[in-house]
Amino acid sequence: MKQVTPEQRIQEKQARKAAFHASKFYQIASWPFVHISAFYKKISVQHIKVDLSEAQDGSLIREIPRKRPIGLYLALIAFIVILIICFIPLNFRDVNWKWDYFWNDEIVRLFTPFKYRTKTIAGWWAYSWKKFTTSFSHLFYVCFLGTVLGSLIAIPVYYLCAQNVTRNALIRTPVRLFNDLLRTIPMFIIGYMISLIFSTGSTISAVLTVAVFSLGIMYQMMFEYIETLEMSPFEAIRSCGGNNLQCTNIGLHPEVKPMFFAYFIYTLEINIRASVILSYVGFQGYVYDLQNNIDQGWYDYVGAMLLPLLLVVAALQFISNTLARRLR
Amino acid sequence: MSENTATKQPSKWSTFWGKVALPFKKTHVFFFGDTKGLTHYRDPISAYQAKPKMWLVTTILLVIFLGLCFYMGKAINIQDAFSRPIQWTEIGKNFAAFFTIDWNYFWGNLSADQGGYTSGVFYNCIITFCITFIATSIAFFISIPLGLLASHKLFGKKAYFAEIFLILIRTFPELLLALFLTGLTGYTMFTAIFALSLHSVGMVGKLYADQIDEADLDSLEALDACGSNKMQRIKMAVMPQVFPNFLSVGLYRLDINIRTGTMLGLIVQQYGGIGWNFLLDFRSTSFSRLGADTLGIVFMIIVVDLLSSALRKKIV
Repeated sequence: MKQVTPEQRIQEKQARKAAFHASKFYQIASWPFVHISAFYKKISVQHIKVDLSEAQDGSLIREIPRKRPIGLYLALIAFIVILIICFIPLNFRDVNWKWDYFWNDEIVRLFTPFKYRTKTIAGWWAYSWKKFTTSFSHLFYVCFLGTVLGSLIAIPVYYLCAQNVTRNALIRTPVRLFNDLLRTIPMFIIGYMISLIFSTGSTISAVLTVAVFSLGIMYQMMFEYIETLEMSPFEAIRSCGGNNLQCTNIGLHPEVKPMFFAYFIYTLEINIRASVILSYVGFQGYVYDLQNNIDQGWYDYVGAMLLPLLLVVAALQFISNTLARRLR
Repeated sequence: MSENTATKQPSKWSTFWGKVALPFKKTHVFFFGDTKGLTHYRDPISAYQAKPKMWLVTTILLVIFLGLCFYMGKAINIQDAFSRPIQWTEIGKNFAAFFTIDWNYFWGNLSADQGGYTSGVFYNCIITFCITFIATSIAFFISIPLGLLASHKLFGKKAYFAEIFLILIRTFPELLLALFLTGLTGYTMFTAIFALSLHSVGMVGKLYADQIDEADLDSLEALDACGSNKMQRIKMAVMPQVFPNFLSVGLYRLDINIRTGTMLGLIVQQYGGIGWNFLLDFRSTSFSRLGADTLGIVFMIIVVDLLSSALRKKIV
């Protein structure tokens, strides 16, 4: 047998490659790639003239290649194209701006007592207080109970989802996938599905809806927070011979607990704003009354009803913001 | 800069809030005495046992909390649903109908008297996406100046004006905002876009301000030394560093807005989108159509979620 040296093998390979490059097929098939890459090279480099002299007197002018951010330009073009396409199926034919109506017949009437309804300023405040103690407080109770239930369910779930607590991917991944699926479903669909089981409009289904919704928010934020934590206390307890539960309870939970309360208030605030939609899948109460008042044009009632909602949401926002800022 | 602010800060307990909060913070001292001074222990177990024992306070708080929960449950008549038996056979039938999806309705293969393709799920999902995308991109650009104004690092105490303005905007639930804005622009798709973007401005502006305050802006001092003005500082030092974060915030907001966009159609038909289909099918209790609606909504949300999270990972 003939002995083939490595050099010869390399030469043969190069010869085969050259033959392929010289073939008709390669010449025809490669031209789009050649031209596109040449075009990309041409546009991606910009030659700018720079004065390199120390005195800046134009004695040492050189051409320097500067890279253009082509990817950024392409992304911008894609964004503009998508934005323009998005305008096609929409119609804005009926838009006519009614500033006078908006200001005089909506905004001003929110705070002016009408003679057949709230009668006086005192009557306006009395109606506001009445709604605060009845229908708004019921909405708040539903949201609070739902958030408590959801957060309590979320406690084991977020420990199961956190990568630094649960090392086993076979447990972690299915739990995360299930929760991600739960999180994608909007609140009114959850509410609808639950009210198929319990009767439509019953408060238990509203509470359970809020619970499922807040579980989705809570577990996501908490496990992302836990994954940023340092694990040295956990490992210290482990080295003393603690089991999994003791390690988590003593080593990790004291650090997680304050953030849990901050996120609890944040979730409660989100839930109060989001539970507006529950009235459209059959739940009566605060928002149902509000919608009714808006439809009838009873704007003094609307303003009096809105006041507690806005105050409570603003207060919760303030509390959760300050808590989160202090704790970080 | 940071050292100066650290030295300027007053002692923790000399502030008004420190004085007010102190008795509440040290409640266990009244019950169990102070553990101050005991900092060295023989072994970890005795250290753990020497921690302030809060069981009495915890029990009292727990009882109060449970009492509150029971009171709330009683006030909203939570037990009403259990007064009659749950009809499992009917529920099973409904769920079976729910999961047999009406594909003709999904793709819009409907006759002209049923509304044609425009009343199908697919077309309406696309309209919802369009409304959301336009609203989010408007909010993205409008809230850049507001976010800059609301950052304490750039504007100091003047930032409170913009911050309070943003808080006032985002306090209003977006659905009620849409209902109010119909007085201004009528029952149109434009109102939906207007309401969505107005609410997003409040939230996105706040997140922008947070991003700027968290960023490490040492280059600001270098620009100060060169004698730059405010615009130059923002252009040279702030924007190159935080713009990727801004993009990621905008994509995150697109996730949230796509959920809200489905709800806007639920309130008023002219706001457009899949929500109105859902409401019609909910009222006529046609379960196979509701299944198609739900599939469309969930599929759209999952697609937008995946796209935006992939882009966010690439940007940051």
